[in-house]
Amino acid sequence: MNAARVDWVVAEPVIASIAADAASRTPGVLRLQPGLAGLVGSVGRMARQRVRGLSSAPREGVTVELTDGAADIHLYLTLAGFAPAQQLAAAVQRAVAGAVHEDTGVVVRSVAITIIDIDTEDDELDQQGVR
Amino acid sequence: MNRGEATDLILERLATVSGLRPAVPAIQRKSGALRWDLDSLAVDVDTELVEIRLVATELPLPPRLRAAGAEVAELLAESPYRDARIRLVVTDIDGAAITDTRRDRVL
Repeated sequence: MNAARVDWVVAEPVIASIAADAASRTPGVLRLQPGLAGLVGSVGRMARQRVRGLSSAPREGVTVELTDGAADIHLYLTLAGFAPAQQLAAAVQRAVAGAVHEDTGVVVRSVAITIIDIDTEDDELDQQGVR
Repeated sequence: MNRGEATDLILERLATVSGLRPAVPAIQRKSGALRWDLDSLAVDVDTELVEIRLVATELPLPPRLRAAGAEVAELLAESPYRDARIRLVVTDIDGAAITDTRRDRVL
């Protein structure tokens, strides 16, 4: 087989879902939520044609742009209380870049993070193990 | 081998690769004289490019895509499409693909 004949493309929604999962599992991250652009985009997403039999993995709160085969990822996060934001952001970046590359083979050029909110509910902090 | 036959054979081969399935639009199939296999909508075949649109149901993707590409290339090796580029496009991912994979992953 001539390997050069075969190539593949992993679409942005797939990368977004994997990134969303990696970020949401990072201790200190409560949830992802769309920014204003994401809210507008989600309307288009609902209108686009669905795939038969598919329950799409969640991807709200993540935007992905693929350029020259590399991904620029932007996540919109709500953090748990008083976790150090800089360290947390670095942990999210590592988790997302690692998961996306391992699961898709796509090189991650950048992971940008916008902190939408910080939630200081006591019970959520205890559950996260942050305090 | 015509386009229709190539499409059918490609779909058969891809069924042997776990973790990938054809990305078929969620349209309602109408009964009647013109029955057609909706899975074929995920495959475009011509002598320059064979494109297959897929949904991921398992991770990681690279070994699965390599296996799928190898299956299709082998299938087409003796066909009129032997020189076509083969492009696999993963358009979406099932939620179960992520939850099943992440069960034991430590971040």
